[in-house]
Amino acid sequence: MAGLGRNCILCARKSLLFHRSVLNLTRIQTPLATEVVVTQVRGTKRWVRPYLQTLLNRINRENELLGPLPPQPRSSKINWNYDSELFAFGPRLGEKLNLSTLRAAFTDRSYVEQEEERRRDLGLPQEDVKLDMQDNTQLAEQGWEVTTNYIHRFLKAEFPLLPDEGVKAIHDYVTQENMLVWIAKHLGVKDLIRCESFPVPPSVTKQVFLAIIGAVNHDQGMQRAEMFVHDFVVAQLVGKDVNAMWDVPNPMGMLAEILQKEGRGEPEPRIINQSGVNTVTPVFCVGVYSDKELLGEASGDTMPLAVEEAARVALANMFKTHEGRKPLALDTRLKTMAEIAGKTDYLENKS
Amino acid sequence: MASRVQQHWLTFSRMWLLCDARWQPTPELAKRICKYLEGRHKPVYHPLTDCGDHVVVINTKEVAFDKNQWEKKLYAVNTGYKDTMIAMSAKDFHRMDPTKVIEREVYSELPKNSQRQNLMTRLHLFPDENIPDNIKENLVDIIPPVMEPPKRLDEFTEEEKASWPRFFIPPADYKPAD
Repeated sequence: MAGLGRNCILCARKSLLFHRSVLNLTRIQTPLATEVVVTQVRGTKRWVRPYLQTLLNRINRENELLGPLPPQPRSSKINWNYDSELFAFGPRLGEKLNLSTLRAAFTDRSYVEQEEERRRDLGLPQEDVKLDMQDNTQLAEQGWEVTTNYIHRFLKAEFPLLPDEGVKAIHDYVTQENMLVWIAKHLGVKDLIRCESFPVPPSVTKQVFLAIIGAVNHDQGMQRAEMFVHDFVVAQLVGKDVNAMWDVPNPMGMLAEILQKEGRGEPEPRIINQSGVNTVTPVFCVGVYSDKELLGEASGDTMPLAVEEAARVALANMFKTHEGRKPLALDTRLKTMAEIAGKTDYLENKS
Repeated sequence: MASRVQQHWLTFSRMWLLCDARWQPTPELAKRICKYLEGRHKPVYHPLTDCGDHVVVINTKEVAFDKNQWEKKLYAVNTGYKDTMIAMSAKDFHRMDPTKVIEREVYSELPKNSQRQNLMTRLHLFPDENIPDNIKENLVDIIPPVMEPPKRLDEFTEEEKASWPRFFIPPADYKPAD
C-alpha cells in the first residue's frame, strides 16, 4: 500500500478498507447476507474514480497532518481466526503437524511471561499463575541443531574441496538472521507469532522459524525436517556467488601456501592483455601461472586489482566453486532422500 | 570467471585498435573504421551504450583510391573568409594534409547524429608509422586489413621470381613481332 500504491486508485481500494476513518463505516453498514440486493449495470461507472480519489485525498491529508497509521497486528483486524490460520499453516507447506506443537512453536517466551504477569496482577493464587503454555525455546534449539547439521553436511558434499572456513562462511550467510527472517515472513509466519511486543523483533521471528523446523522434527522425524531445511533454507543459495561469501583478505598469499603444500611451483602473475594503459579507463587481463600452467585468469581496473582478482579465480578453480561448475544438487538430492525414506507422496503431490 | 563486477568491466571496456592504411581502398577502409568506432563489432552493441573503441590509423599518407579518383574526386574547403570556397582534387587535398582524406571519409561514413563528434575524437590519424609513445602503449589489437597490399615486382625475391609458374617459356632466340 505504500510507495507506488500510495497514489494509485486501484491500490486505494485495499487501503481504504482498513483505514481508521473508513473502518467504523464498514462495521456499521455491513448488511446481512440475506438483505443484500446487488444490481449490476454494464459499462464504465464514471463516478467510481472521482469517489475513490476523494477518499484517497482525505486519507493522504489525514496521514500528512496526523502522521501515518502505526502498524497494527493482523489479529486486531476483522476476519481473523487464529485456530483456522494455525490449522492451515501446516498443509500450506505440505507438512502434517500437530496443532499443539505448532502452537508452542509460535509462542515466544515473552508472551508466556506477559500472560503470567497479568494473572499475578489480577491477584490469582500462586498455583493458578503458572500457565500450561509451552514456549518455543526447546523447539528452536532442536530446529537450530537440525539446520546447522544438515547445511554443513550438504555443503561438504557439494563442495568437497572447499576448506572449513569457506564452508562456515556459506553456512553463516545462509543462516544469518536477515535471511531466516525473510524466509519466515514469506512463509506467512508474521501474523501467527504470539509475542509481547509488536512489531515482532527479528530475533523472535528467527527463533519462531527455527522452532517450526523443530516442530517438523518433533512430529515427522529428522529426515522430514532436513527436507524442510533443504527446500527453504539451502535453496536460497541458488544464483548466489558462493565465492563472495568468504572474505579472503590475501588471496595470493593463500594460493602460495596451498601450492607450496602440494609441492607445486609458486604462483606467477603475468599480463595476458592490457588496453588503454595511459587512459582513465584501462583494462588489465592477468593470468596466474604455476609451473607454466594457467590456474586462473581475470581482468581489472588497475594492475594490483587484476592480480588479486586472478588469484581469487585461481582459488575458486582449485576449490571447484568456479562459476562454470555444475549447479547445486537440489532436485536429485530430494529424490534420493524420498526414495530412501520410502516417502514418495511428497513428490506425487508436487507434480 | 571473475566476480560479476570485474566481468562487467571487461565486457564494456574500450579497446585501442591499430589500423594500417597502406594501399587500402579508402571508402572500404572508412566503412571498416566506422564499424569499430561505433562498436558494431561487439555482440553487446547498442547505440546508447557508447561501446565503441579507439582506432589509431598509421600510414595514412599511403592510402589508395580506385582508378583516377585522385584527380577526379573533389573535396570542399571553406574557411569562412572571403574567396575561400574551394573545391580541391583529392590529390591536392592529400598533399595539403595527408591525414585529412581519411578523416573526411570516416566523417562521411559515420551516422549523422550527435555521436559523430565524440566518435571522431576517438579516431587518431598519423601519416606514417611514428606514433607517440603514450598512444602506442595503449594499443591492444589490429583491425584486419580490407585487402592485403599487393607486392611490387622489386619486392619479390629472386627465388620466387624463378619458381613462379609460367604459361610458356619462349626459346632463347625468340623475338616478338612488332
